Amino acid sequence: MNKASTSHTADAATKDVYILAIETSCDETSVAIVKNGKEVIVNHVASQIETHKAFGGVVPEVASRQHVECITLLIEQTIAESGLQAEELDAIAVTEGPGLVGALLVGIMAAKALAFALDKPLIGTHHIAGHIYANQLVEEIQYPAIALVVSGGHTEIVRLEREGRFQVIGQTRDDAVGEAYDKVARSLGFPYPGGPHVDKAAQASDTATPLPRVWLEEGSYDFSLSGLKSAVLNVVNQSRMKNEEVDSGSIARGFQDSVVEVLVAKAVRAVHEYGGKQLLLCGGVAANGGLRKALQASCEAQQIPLVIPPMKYCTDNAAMIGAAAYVKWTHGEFSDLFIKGEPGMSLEAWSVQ
Amino acid sequence: MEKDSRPQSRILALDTSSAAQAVAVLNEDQVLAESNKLAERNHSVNLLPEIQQLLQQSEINKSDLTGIAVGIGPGSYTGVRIAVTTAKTLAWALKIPVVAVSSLEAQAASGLANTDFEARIWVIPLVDARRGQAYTALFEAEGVQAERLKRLAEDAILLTQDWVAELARKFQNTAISDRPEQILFTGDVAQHAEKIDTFAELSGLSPEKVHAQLCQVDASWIGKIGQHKLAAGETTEAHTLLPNYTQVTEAEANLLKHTKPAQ
Ligand SMILES: [Zn+2]
Repeated sequence: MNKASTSHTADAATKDVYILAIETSCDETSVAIVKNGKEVIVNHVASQIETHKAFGGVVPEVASRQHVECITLLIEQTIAESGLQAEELDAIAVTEGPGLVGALLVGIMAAKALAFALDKPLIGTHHIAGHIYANQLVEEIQYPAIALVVSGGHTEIVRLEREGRFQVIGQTRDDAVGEAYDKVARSLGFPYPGGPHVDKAAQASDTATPLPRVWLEEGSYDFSLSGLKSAVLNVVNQSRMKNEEVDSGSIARGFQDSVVEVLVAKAVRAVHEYGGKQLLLCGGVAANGGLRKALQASCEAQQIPLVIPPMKYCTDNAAMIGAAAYVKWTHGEFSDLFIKGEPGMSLEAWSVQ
Repeated sequence: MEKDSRPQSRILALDTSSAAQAVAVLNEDQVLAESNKLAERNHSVNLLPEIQQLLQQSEINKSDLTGIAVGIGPGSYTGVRIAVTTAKTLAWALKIPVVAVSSLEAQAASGLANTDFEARIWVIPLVDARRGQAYTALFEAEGVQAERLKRLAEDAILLTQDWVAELARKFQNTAISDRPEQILFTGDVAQHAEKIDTFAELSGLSPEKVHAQLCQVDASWIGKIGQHKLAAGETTEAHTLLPNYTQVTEAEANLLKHTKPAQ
């Protein structure tokens, strides 16, 4: 009996864990299979960006409809390409929040049905934990770590004292970085999604329109971007009123310089204050060239190891959800079949026990 | 006494297109377990646990199911997606066929089954869609044979005011020998009571012949209609199973309006 239990433990320690993950929090339908929280076996992303371009932004109802159209097909393709049988999966993970509630629901219902049909444990997963654990897909995270999360809906500095423990030490008080980029892009006449256009124009411009830096109170890790956004709109309107041509390159550069300077300074300060062994850059805005360059330069100068996942794991994807869910798996923390979409889900509350 | 060699059809029936969370388990036409819950409007939370419980109650293992019947609306967009996503994923994972049932047809059957009419009847299901509109359709039945509804109009979203006028015209234009003796409106009849009265006036029918039956979709009717469709081979591939929204999204409608080419 003793022997049996020993061999069982040894078995459990060496057995690979395959998690099938589903992500439908916004406008990408994604299904992935991740091995041991680190190795991406398959990661399928059905992007709706072309659809939403026509509307100038994500339309929640349109996004939800498209999720229903492709969800089971993506699950089938993902399992087929993994070479695994559905029965060999160890758990089903799904983004529980935050996100668009109607969109989240499609992934959650599919995940619950799949977990029930296959008799597999279910792991409701936090979307931002997913963005952070995308780093685990490229490099072993060293704790304590500091994560800078920048995306269309999020701007946060998160401290990870140890695996699966999240402490939000700073966040935006108004607009998220991606949101501010989109609004500035619109005022400069760039098409949706505008972030990449602003980044490109900023990097190509030799001049920078002077714009304010918003540092907030001494020592705060929070952000505020609405004042900067208004300042940009003022400059644009003043040029128009004077019948001058709007120097979109210079304004884009001025805006980007301001955003990047504050983001980098606060992230680096957090690494020093909390003795971070790594700085993890997470979220779709990691694609921003200006931000990457400034962060790389600053981290190099101060000898901070910086991890930036490849772009396919920075934008919304299910592989990152599988990576984060594995942390819950190793701690034996699972969800029941009662979970629902949580648009305002707390990251700290999702921490492991 | 020889038993039919065909394996028995054991199905799970679901509908979440309205305020009711409707789940049933059927063996052939026999309802083994059923729940139609109006209490909490929380279909996404409770649907799977309810399915699990009703299967247990009917002593049927999920692997013994031979099919799934699901109400595909029309109705609440989010609501319909809950049952449809669940049904298509279960059907795919359990490798069993899925049949799409009109939630309006099941609602009409649920309403009719609660009456005792004997002659020809028209049944008009109504699901309130706000701003004077309803999701609706038209069925004909001979008496209370709810399982034999004959469809006379497709599921659609219509202004109830226009719809009752059209129904009255249709009634007038039907040869007297073919006309129904009774008219039954089912579903969200309270919100559209005035328009139902208008129908009586316009059609020239005496008000005693125009009835209103307040009801929801009963899961057993999703199941019974589903069993017929399953037997007739009218299944849908899980991947292509979709809600019947009956209309494009508002955003798409606006876009179409603005991009319509000039004639
Ligand atoms: Zn995201």
